[in-house]
Amino acid sequence: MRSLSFFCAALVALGCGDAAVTEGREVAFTLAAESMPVGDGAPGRFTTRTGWTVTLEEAAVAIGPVYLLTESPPSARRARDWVLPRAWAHSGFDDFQGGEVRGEYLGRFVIDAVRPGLQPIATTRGIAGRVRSANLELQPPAAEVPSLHGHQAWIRGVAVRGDETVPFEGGLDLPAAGSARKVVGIPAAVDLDDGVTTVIELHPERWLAEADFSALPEPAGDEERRAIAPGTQPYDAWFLGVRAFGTFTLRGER
Amino acid sequence: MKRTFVMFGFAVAAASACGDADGGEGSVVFRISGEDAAHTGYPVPGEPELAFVDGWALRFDKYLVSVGNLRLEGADGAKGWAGTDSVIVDLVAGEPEVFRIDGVEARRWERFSYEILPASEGARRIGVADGDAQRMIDGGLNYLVEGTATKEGMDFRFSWGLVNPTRNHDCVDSQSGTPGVVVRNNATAEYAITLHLDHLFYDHLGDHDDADMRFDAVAAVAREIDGVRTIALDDLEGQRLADLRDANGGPLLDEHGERLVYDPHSVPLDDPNLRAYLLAAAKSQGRFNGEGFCSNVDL
Repeated sequence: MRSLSFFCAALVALGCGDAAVTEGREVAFTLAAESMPVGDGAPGRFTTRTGWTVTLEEAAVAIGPVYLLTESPPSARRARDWVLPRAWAHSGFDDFQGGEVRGEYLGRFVIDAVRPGLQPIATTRGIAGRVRSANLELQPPAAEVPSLHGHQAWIRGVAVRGDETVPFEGGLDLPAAGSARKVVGIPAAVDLDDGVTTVIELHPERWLAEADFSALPEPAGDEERRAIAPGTQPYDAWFLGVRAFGTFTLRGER
Repeated sequence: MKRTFVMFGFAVAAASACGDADGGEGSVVFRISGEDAAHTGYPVPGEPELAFVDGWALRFDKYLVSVGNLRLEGADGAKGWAGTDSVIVDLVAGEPEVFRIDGVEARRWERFSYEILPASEGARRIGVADGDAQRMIDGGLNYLVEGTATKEGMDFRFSWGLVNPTRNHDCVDSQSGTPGVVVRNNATAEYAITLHLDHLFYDHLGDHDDADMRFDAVAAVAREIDGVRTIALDDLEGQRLADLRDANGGPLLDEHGERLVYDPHSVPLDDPNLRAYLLAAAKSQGRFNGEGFCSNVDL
């Protein structure tokens, strides 16, 4: 993945910074996030594959950096596409590089996963043209953020299945090693241009789709809520779900 | 990399003048290899030894693959070869020559690709029994993998037909680190289509860096069929990646006594179960000349 600064330098060198050129000119665009509801409900209300109806009262995750890329990920490519410029995408064991960077956000942003509507991240500059994929990281914020309770992601809510009601809360921390903090190959079809808002869509129902809340131990002492902590099945489900394919999607709008 | 590296050293034609037109014509031969693991199973002796971290040994009786539709193209768009033939070959039987292309313009063909594709009636067969070939054709299989896994004196049999065809393209020659193949005038260049069998058993996708080979989660679904402990591929659907179970139905623990998860990272799966995970993992087996990297797409 070549950096945006490299690409901009190349554009200048080639005289491609001319505003008259549609593809490749420098543009200003807005990056935003949105937690997506399931159906007509508010974001953070959903039913898991394991049969639990979940209402999240608090939910947040730190994201960033974000890279908007020129190439399609393997999931969006088919055999006929092999003639397209190579993306060095080897589905399975090697990071999707994604070609050139059209836009990037190198800071951190905390998405409120129970807040409806757009959450603006930044207005930044990029290179006009089609964004076919995005890679992002789930790095901890540089400063303490109350909604994260000292973690990289936080949830608090209630899960109901039949006559079982499980209030829960917990924080998630991803190891720095390997690819555990990377979400790569998010499919996209966004034409980056002046005035375009690129929206990172979060689907929090994917976090807990495989969680079985009955596996949480009873709360300790005076605690009212069961803890989603390392070593519990819901924590493992969240650990996988927070980076799973489909947890993040991307759209563009004017 | 946790594998014994088979040095073919075939790309002898890749000397100087790479990328330049050489004039005339030449030939290129492709062998296929499952590396040492196809013959020895696991562990593969060496330093470091390539072994399961959970104590299993495994031998392959058959590792059949259907491969074909080779293409050679230049970075300039020139077409060198667009094959339409395929072969079904058993990697356990050896590292045979599977394709030979003659009369190719002498130059570097930067873009080499091949398909791991559904077995077809018209495919050539190398070291493959008719019954196995027919099973692959009838099932639209691109891999047929059979073997025995052993732990603590107990044998577990498996016979898995995989349907996960891919085109592996823009392959990089691991010997030279350069893209594609080089054909020299009046010479025969030799290359190898290499399959990394260990990918099938890694406990996470997304990168190689700290992946471990495991088999406990797979063996846990075994059933006794005709007196033989058998692992059916479809039974792996019952293993949820976020809730792996041992043979007794309890949480599956790793060697440190901690809950074990298989992590697909951001690789898309049809469903987060172990069967879908293995199919996704096997898509990444196709390499070039040892460790050479290929991009791939689903067929």
